Amino acid sequence: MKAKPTLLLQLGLGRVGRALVAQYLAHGDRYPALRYLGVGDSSGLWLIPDGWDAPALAEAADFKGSGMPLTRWHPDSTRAETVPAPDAYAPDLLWRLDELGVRRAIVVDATPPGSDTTPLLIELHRAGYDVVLANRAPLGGSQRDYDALTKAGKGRVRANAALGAALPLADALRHQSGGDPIQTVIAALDPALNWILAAVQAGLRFSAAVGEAGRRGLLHRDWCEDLSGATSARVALLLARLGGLKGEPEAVCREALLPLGWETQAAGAVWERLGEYDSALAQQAWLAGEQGQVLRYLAVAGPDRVRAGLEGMPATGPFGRLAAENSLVALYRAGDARPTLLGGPSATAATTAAAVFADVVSLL
Amino acid sequence: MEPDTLGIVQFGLGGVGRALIGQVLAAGDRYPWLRYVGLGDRSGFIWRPDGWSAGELRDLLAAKAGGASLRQAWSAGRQAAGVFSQERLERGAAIVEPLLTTAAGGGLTVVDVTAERNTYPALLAARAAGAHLVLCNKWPLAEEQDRYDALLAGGPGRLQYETTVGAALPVLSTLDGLLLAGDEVQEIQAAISGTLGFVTSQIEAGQPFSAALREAQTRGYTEPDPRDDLGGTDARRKALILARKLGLRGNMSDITVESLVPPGLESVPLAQFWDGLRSVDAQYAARVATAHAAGQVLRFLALVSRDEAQVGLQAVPRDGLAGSLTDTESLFVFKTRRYGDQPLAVRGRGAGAEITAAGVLADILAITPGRTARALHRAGAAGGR
Repeated sequence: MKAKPTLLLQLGLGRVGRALVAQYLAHGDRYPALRYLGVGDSSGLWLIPDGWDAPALAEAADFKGSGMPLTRWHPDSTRAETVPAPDAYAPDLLWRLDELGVRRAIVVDATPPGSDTTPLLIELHRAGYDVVLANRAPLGGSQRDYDALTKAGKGRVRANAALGAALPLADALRHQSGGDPIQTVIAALDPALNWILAAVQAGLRFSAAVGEAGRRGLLHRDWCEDLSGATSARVALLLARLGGLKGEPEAVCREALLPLGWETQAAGAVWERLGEYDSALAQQAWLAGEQGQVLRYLAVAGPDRVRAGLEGMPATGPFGRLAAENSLVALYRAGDARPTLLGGPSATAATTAAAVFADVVSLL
Repeated sequence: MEPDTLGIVQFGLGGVGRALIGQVLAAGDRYPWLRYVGLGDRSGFIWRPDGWSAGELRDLLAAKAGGASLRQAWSAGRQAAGVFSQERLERGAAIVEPLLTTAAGGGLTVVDVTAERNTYPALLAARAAGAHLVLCNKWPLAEEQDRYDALLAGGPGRLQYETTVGAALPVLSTLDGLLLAGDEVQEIQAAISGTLGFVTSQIEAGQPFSAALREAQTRGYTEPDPRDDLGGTDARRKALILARKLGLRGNMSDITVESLVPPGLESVPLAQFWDGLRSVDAQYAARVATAHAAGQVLRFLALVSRDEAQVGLQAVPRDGLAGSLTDTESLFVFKTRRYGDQPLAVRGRGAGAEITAAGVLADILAITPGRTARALHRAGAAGGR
C-alpha cells in the first residue's frame, strides 16, 4: 500500500526558504512521502493541493530569487491557487486549506522576524498541523502565544533551527527532560554582532565594522533591529522559557549595541550618527583588553538573569577565542563550572535550512 | 499511539544504573507513566509485572549502596517470586518474553546500563518482541556486523543509544540531524577517552607519563586495571559506533588502535606493570618535546570516516580545538560538506554517572515524546527533538 503523503507548507521564500527548497530538491527522493503543498513570500501563497512537482518548485524559488514577488509567478498546474497577503498569513487560511481538502500538514515558518505569522501558526497547530520554526519570533512573543504554540496538542512543534541555528542546541537541552538540568546558558549566536565586535576588537571603527557587516550580507534590511540586540534577546527569552521562565519579552534585560535612545530614531538618522559611537565602543574594548577580556554580545539565560548585551569575557576562554565567523553556546549545569560547549560557523541560509529540513523529516 | 504506562526493565545497577533509578524516582511526579518492572545485576534478575513501588526502589538503592547484591537486597524479607539467574538472563528470551506478555499498557523499554558483553541475546529477544531499547552499554553495538545488523533491524520498537558515545554530550543526535538533512559527514575527529585526555594534558604540563596515569587512577578516572584504558578498547568501541553511523561496514578488528600499554607489560601482574611503566616516561617526554617544537600538543584522538577509523596519539595544533582541551574533556568535531571550513564542534564533560544517567533518562523519555512534551510544558521546561 502506498503511504499517504505528508504535505509541507512553507511560509517564507527568502534565503533560508530557497535553501530549504534546494535541499528538498536534492534529497527529497529519500523521503518520497514528503510533498510540497505550498510556498509563500510576503506577497502571498501558492497552493497546489495534490503536490508540487520538482520543476515547478525550482522555478518558483528561482523566480523569487530574481527579486520578484512570488504571486506574480504562475505555475502550470490547473489546481494551483494563490492566496494573496495578508489573507495568506491570517488564521482564516485554515478554512481555505480545509476547503481544498487539506486537514494536516507540516508548516515551516521561514519568514523574517517582522512577519506576523504567530496567529496563523497557533491556529494551524491547534488544528493538528505540525509546526517547524526557523523564525524565532513566534516563540519570542507573549507568554500566552508561547503557551498556545508549545502546548502539546494534536500538532507537534520543532524549533531546532530557531533555537540554535547551525548548532545542535535543542539536542543539548534534551537533558532538561532528564535528571541533570542545565542551569545557565550563554550564547553568542548573532552572526552580525559576533562579526562586528570581533572587528572592533581587532581595531576597526564601529561605524566601519557595521558598514562592512552590511556588505557581507550579515545585517538584515532592518539593520537597526540587528544592532538593537533583538536576535539575542529572543534567544535569551526562548532559553529562559525552556528553563521554566514564565514571562513576557520585557523580562529580558536588553542592552543595544547602540547608545541609549538611538533605537527609537529613524535608520537614516542612526546611520548618520554611527561614527559618534566609534570612540566610546573602542574605549570599552580597550578597557576590556586591559583586564584580559574581549567584548562579546551575548544572550544569557540563567536563574538570576535573562539578558542580551555586551559582556567582557576572558580572552583565553572559549568566548574570548571565538572567531568572527563563528557562533558558540555554553551550557552550565548546577555546581559545575565546566560547561558543555557547542561551536561552529555562524548560521548561514544553508545550515539553517538543513536544521529545518532535519526537523521536518523527524516528523515523518 | 503512546502507551499509558512505559514499563522499564533495567539491566545494570552500577553507578549509572543507581543514578538512573534515583532520577526516575526524583522525577516521578513529572513522569508518572514510567514504572520499573524488571531489574537485573550480576546476581540475577527480578521482574515484577505490577511494578516496584518508590519505597521498594529506595530500599534497593540503599542496600546496593551498602554493598548488597540485587538478590540479597530483594530476598531480605520479601517474596522471591520472579527471580532469575544470570544464566537465564543470558538466554534472553527465557526472561524477556514473560515480561513482554505481562507489561501493562503494552509499552516496555529495556534499558542496558551494564558494561557486560552478555546482554545481547536478551536485548535481541526483547526487540523482536516489540520492546524499545535504550542502551548505555556499548558492547551490543560493537558486536560483529551481522549481529549488529540483526539488532538494528530486530524489531519495531525504538532503539536509543545517545549515551554510548560522549555520555551527556549531544553527539549521536547531532550526527543524526546532519545525516537526516542530507549533509555529507566527511570526518569526525573525537577525543573520546576522558582518561587518556587527562593523561595527555598532564604529560603536556610536564608530568611523567607513569605519574600522570597514577594520578588519573587516584582521581578515579581509570578502570581498576588502567591497561583497559591504555589499550584503547573503549575508544575503539566508540569509534566503531560512530563509523557505523557513517556507513562503515566492519568490526572492532577493523578499527586501528594505537595501544599505549608498553610492549611486554600487557599481561604481567599489575604491580609489575606499574614498575615497568616508568621505562616509557622518557619516550613520552621526548614525543611531547617534539610536538612542542612544532607548536603542537599530543592528544589521544579518534579519526572516523565511513571508510575507516583509527584511534591513537596525535600531535595537533596547540591553539586548535583538540589542542585546547583540558582535564577529562571530550570533543567531537564534525567536518561536513555543508559546514565547510568551519566544522561543527561539541565539547564538554563526557562522563560521570549522574550526567550519563540523565542522558539515558532523556532517551527513555524520547520514546513517549507527546507525554514528555506535555509534562515539560506543565513544568515550564522543554526538551529538544
